[in-house]
Amino acid sequence: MQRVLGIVNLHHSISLSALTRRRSLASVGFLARYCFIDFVLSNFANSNINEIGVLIKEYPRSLFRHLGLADKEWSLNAKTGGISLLYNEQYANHGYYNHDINNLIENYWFLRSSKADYVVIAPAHILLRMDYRDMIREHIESKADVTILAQEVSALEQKDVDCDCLRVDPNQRVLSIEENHFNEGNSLVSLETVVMKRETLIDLIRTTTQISTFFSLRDGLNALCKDWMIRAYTRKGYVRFIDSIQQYMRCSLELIDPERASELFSTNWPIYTRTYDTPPARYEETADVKESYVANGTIIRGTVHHSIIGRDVLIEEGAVVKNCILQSHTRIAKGAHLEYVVVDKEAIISEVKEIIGKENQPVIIKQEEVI
Amino acid sequence: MKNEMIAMLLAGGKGTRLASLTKKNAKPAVYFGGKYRIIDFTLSNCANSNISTVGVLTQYESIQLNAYIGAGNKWGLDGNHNKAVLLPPRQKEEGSSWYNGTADAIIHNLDFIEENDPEYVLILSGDHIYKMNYEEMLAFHKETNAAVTIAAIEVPWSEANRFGIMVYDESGNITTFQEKPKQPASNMASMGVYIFTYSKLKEYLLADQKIERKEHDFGKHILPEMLKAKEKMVAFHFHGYWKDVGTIESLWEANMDLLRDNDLDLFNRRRDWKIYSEDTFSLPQYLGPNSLVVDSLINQGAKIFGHVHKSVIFHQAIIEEGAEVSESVILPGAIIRRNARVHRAIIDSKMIVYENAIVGSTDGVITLIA
Repeated sequence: MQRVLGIVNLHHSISLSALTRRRSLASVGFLARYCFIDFVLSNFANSNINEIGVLIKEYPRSLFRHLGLADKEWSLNAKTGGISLLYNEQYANHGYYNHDINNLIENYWFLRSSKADYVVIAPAHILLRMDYRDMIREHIESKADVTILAQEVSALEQKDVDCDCLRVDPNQRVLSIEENHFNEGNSLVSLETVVMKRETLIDLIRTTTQISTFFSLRDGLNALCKDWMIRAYTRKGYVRFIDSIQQYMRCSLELIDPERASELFSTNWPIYTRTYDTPPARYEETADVKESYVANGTIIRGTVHHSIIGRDVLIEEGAVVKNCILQSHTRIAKGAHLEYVVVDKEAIISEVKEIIGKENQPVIIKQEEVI
Repeated sequence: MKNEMIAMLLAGGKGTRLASLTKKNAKPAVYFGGKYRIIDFTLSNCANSNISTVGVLTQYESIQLNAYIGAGNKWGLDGNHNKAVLLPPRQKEEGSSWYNGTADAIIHNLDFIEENDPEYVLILSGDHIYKMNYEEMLAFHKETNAAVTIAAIEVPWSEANRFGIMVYDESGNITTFQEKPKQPASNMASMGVYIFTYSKLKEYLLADQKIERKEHDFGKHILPEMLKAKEKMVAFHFHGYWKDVGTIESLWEANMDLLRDNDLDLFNRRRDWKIYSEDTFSLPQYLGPNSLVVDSLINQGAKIFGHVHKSVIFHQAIIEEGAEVSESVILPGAIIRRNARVHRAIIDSKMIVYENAIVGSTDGVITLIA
């Protein structure tokens, strides 16, 4: 069995409006008790990939907090592997230069000192359940230089997301990587995930920087399609691109359907996350909760329908919450009425009576705000 | 690094009155409060009281308990200077035997205590639900220069005959100690929490070991002996919630107690004493479209599609549509199928209550399905 190094690439520019004002997407809370990075880290852990590097583009602090106990929480063997947090200090404030290639160059020791034969690079904003081992096996068998994970996506699913499409020949060789052209019909969309030999990655970094220092990994791969053997590996199944606040809202509420949830969650593919020893949720006499996910530590005295409630939230009697996402430690006071609202951590809704958003235009209450 | 005080946690008991809940499980491993096991309370108390070495003495059906305790990481007792050490009965050069009594268990582990060379030893049991700062009790022990300090709690007179009863003066000096007396002289009960000055503990344990007897027990033998020898023994009055969940009824009651604010403050409103436990890799709890949950506690991973009233639901439990659960405790992974009715009952882990079944009665008796 080959040794594989996993790299979480957070150099994709994803904005979830106010939710990513002071944190990266990787640290954004999802489905009451997770952060986005938990999904890709769990995919790695469950694929037996023990040695992980996280390429941090910006706002490293909340990630440091979340991943502090990383080795234990993600079931990684801290002695044979573990998580390294890689931050590009030098280029943190330079838009064009703060990309994944420069981060890897800045943290060169990381690739150099690893004993892994292969590397899998994956993003945190694409939600899916993925065992990388099949892809790695096919990559090795095909003797390709690089294999890119892809999926056939219909025009309808594609229209709202910012993704790359792969143009391939009948043998799945990638001819070019193009921006989403919003084609009619299906497209082969890149899931921003690649496999290659560790030595190949080092080579890729060197070759790309020789072409242009502005080039990111994706740009480098696109430029080398003709000279290198780059293949696509196609998968099927649940996949969601969380790259806008609308997608965030839609994909969160969608998981309230147990059938949809079972496409992402499975008992033999646990999603690990940081735990806080929070006591069970408490429902009082006046609680009325339906079709919702509720995290521990929460006290509910009001009405909650079709919503996702984070940890340690307080919903007072008389409050009404519908189609909302409440992050941890928020408080909704008596008489407040919220629909299609995302309330960031620690915010308090106490005075204002009604906050009504729309599915495509949710209202975001910023972190620690008092309304 | 020398420890001033180490803790020895007696977790070997069976809890015979917990019936089939303890058939294959030691009492301290019994589930409580939607998420916890009884031993989480004493172990969290140790962690929060800055005790860095805890010996856990297991014996009866200890597989689940041993696995649960592991290296102590759930309570933060697994660092370089913190440790939880499992101490089951072991073979020695002199021979082998089971632990026969609370004092006997400690006698067999004097070598462990010696290795740690503490000045004081805290003896605890893993059977009780309470929050306590042992540092405060140690301060009192040092202040009074006692040979042993016993934590005391007021119990109803009608129950006094179940406990070790103490009579003590305003300074805390114990003048009388009665083990499960038919005519109790007071209603101040020993909580089974003792702080000994180690030299005194060692002296009396070794002396008792020489006596050929079937068992060696603190309440029956060591403490009365120390009293007879006029050692300085003091009582540390504990105020707060304390429950010995030795019976199905008391276990059920303790769970129901959580549905009201009380001194136990399990939700840590005062933010001063968290109880640590095991977190599961589950989805957050899910409540379905026709669910109705009122006056209840629900843990992560549970799926509720039916009606839940005044109940405690553990992780991974499933309450199907049409099912009605009231005044009950549903342990991890249990399933209550469609249209079943469960009232005033404890449903054990992974048990299934079938469709349309009716469990429990309104006559006050708690039903156990295990």
